[in-house]
Amino acid sequence: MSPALTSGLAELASYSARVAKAAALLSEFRDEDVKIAMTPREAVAQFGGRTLYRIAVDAPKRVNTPVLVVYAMVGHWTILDLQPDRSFLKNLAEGGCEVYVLDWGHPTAADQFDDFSDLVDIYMDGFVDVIRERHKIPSVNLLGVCQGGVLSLIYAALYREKVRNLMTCVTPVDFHADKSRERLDHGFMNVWVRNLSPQEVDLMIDSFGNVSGEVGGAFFSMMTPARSLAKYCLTLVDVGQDKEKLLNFLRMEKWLADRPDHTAASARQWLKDLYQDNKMVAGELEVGGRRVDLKDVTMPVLNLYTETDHIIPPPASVVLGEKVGSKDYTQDVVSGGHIGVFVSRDGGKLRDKIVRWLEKR
Amino acid sequence: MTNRAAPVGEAIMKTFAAPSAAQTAWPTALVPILEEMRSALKLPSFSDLPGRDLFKLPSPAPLFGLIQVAQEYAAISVPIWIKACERFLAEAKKRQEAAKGKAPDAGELLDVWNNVLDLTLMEFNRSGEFARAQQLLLRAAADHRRELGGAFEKLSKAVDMPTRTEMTDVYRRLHDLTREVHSLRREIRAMRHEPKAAAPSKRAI
Repeated sequence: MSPALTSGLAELASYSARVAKAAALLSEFRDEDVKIAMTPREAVAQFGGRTLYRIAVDAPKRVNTPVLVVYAMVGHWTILDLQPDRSFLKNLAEGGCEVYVLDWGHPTAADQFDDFSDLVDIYMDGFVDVIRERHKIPSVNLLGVCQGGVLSLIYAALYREKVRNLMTCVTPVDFHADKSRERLDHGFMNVWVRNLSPQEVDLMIDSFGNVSGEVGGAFFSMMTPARSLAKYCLTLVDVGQDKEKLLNFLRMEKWLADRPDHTAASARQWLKDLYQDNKMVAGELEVGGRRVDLKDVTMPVLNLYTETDHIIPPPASVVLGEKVGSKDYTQDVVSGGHIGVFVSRDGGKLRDKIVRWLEKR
Repeated sequence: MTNRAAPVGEAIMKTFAAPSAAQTAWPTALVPILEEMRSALKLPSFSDLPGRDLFKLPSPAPLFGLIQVAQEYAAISVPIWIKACERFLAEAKKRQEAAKGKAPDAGELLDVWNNVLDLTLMEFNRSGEFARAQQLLLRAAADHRRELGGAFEKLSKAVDMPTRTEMTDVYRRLHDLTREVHSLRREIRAMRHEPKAAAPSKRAI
């Protein structure tokens, strides 16, 4: 028998043994064993299917003004509290902030007409008012993540008196900035949407209504197609050798599988007004009949982005400094990918950046 | 035109005169033709006679459209897979040469394959061909959805269930009401925070 064949067979036998071990370990878990969003929280208010939670972690306060965290509608906020040792929200609360998080829920056909105006004027503003009344304060700290960052920018521009400090994290601002530094593995969504005509976006929304979570998931898989498939035959076998690693993997899978639908009306604006026409940076975006001018964002701004973000190309984020009216603008790079930045065991660094910046303001 | 069409019109009108017989005797296939004729001849329409819509089955055309898109996609993606295989072989050979003839192990080869395939598919996903395929898919899927939606709309009506159109109308009204409630709440809150004006004088009832 040739040495190459012997070596190949030995590798195959070893791989089979690893598959068997991973399968045995996997069979020990049921869905209820895989828990995410474990940090204690209380529902403070609810409008329709949207909920405002307070993260119920008692820690000495270093920041007096509460922080409202607004996550994207694409994906669920639970990624910010994936597991106790990888929880951005828990970290932030333990770091001395009173933390609230906005849960956009799981929109149904009944929510299909919710556009940016509804998201900002009804839900965000409603929840901000709840926090203001609870704490008897005129304004809150707002922290927007990704699409939630865009909504936070819109909110801050339209309701600047209610926002003390604005923080944006991995947030797209210039939706055409990817053209300035094209990379195969960055900004697939930007290219895909620009390849459609406005009429085709309308056709999609008119025919299908809400954009289903599965469609969103398929786009993210298309960014790294082979690796998205390989995770079930390579990564799963690797992590399946260790119970804790396997649980981490399953928690992430659980979050990925829980993709809420995107309301039709806001998806239309998201795709046409922002991805195609790039209206926010041009100062042409209209929300509820009002023009959104980023020059009205005059409160202190902290903009965090990562150099390895394959969903929001870094040039799309860093342009914010030139666009806002704030004289107190800070920009900082954080390590990790678009999601990794929130689930890293190193989350303390991100927390420290935010808390230190807030403490001074 | 009117003179030539008159006998046809008369014949149809005679049939219309006996609606119950018409409902049972008309072959389904003739309904669309007759309906077209009625439309072309600008004949009056009747509320209690079967229309073409009642007999119309969902068209299989959009389904075939989807199949066609899948076939076109397969046709343009075959060269992509060939390209990925060629790249993989070239990379494997390069590594073998660098290792002085020792073949890479299976794990390394799998990594190479994943990288090569990712790169090739990412290039394809950004190409004009892919964009065109996506546009065709979108249009075909939308056509199919509308055709299917139309059929279920009729079915829902037939079994006295709310149709999608009716539900959408309800959702729109609900949405408008939510906005109105929000707007009223905002007004009330603003009034509460306004400095109290002088008490209004009592009006005679």
